[in-house]
Amino acid sequence: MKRLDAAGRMRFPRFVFIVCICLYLLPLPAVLYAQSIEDALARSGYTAADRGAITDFFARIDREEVPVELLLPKLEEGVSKRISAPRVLEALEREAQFLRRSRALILGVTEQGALLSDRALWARTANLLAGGIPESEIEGLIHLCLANVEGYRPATYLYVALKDWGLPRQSAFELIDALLKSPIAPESYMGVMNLLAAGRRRRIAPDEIVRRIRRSAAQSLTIEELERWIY
Amino acid sequence: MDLLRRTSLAIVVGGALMLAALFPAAAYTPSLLLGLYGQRIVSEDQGGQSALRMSGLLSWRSALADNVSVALYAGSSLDRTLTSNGMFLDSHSLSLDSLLRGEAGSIFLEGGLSGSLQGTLEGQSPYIRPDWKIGGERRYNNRVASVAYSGYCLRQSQGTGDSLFQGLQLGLASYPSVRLRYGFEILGAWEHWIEENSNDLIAALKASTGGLAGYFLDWSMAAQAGIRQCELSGESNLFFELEGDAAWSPHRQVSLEAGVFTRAEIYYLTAQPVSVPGFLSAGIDFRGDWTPNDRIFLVTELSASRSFPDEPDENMWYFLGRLGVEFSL
Repeated sequence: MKRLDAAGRMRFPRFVFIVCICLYLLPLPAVLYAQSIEDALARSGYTAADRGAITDFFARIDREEVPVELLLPKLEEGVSKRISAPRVLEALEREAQFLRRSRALILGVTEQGALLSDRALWARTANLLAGGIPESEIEGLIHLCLANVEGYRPATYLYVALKDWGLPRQSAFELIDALLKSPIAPESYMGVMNLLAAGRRRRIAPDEIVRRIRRSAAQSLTIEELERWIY
Repeated sequence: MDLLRRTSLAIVVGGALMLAALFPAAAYTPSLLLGLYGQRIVSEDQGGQSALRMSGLLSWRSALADNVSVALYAGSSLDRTLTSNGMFLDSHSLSLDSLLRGEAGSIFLEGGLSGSLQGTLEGQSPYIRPDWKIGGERRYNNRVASVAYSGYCLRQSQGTGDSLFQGLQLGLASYPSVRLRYGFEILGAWEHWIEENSNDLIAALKASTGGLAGYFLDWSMAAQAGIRQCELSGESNLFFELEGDAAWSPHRQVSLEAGVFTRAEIYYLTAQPVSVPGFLSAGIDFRGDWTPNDRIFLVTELSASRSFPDEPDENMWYFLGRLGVEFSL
């Protein structure tokens, strides 16, 4: 004990040390992002005025509490493809607008902002908006996923695939609701597309397959197990 | 006569009660499919042959409880050859399976009966073939271990191919994700040839893989190698099989399937003075359909295969083309 004290434990308590580290690390991401923006602009060959406009844009975004890290890839992509500054700025503004609308959508469904702390969820919602999915449908998906937030991304990818495949909105919602309430792992949700296609090959109408999945999903641990109960 | 009437009544009442028990509120809506096709088969030994086909398929599954289900599948097809002495050919199948699942696994029991009264368009003589299977699976996270006993008895009106087959199968399948699955199976079997009163022993290993590519394409591949040890001289062989399938449905209105296969047999105890006696066959098949409304399906099927036995005069091409319409009721 004396040896530890002599080594400084008592003079520099662990609690104080941890707090100092946390305080040091807390602003680090913002510094890193600022540095990343500077680095990207330094490589860009843009004029000083263009660089200033982009820097101002990111400063404004940061004040609006829109996650800067979700927009950085867009800037870096534009710079690496040698796209002109006005077009990059235009793309950034459009992306920022999708993120703002995403925040409004999420807060519109649930007053608690906990969902917004999940940057991936926020970004995925912006992607859905950019992909032309109507806000009412995204709101519906957020509603379905409130009790199973980790299922949101796989569920939304599945939803887009179901719509592309031709399933009506209501059937797609019912199917996703059944999956979210089941013990099936979210990363397996895309396997449902194969169930629909295989059911179709057996000439079972997709709406009937959806009914069967709704009935059996709650008792199925995996997609493979579910498959054995619906044909 | 009275006894016959009572027996008939008992069967009818018993059957009705059994159906009522199997048809609780949890039963799925039965699927009934009717099909009408025109088809042409061309083979080197029999030349071209055109035919009309009518088919029907009934499938139905019912959950008796949360962890018990039964399913019934019944299918029939009737072919009429379009020749001057046109004849009817047919094939039928009926199967019933039940599934019982627990927390860590499941038990399944399957039984079926297939046959033909007039023979089939593919050249099979009239036959009857009951089959059965019982097995179980146990799940360990994303791995499934399985064991199954299966068998069939084939009786034909002509030929010397009647046999009784019984096999034991051990399997291990892994599902690391929906994008990739793979499995490994060991099969040990015994086949008794009834007319010859001889026996074969069969052992085989099979490896398979498959998965989803994107959201709309499912693929699978399998390779099998085995040995058949026959009591009859010259029949023992090593066999190897490769097969692959892909199914693509980019939209609910369209489905496309394609498959390839090849099989090789090497007779290692032949009595014939042939340097490398063997047999090789390979083929491809394609199936596509389109539906405007999930009720009516326009269907096309194409397949081609060729066998390459050691005797050159037995080399044979086989083509099948089929166009039809199916009605889902």
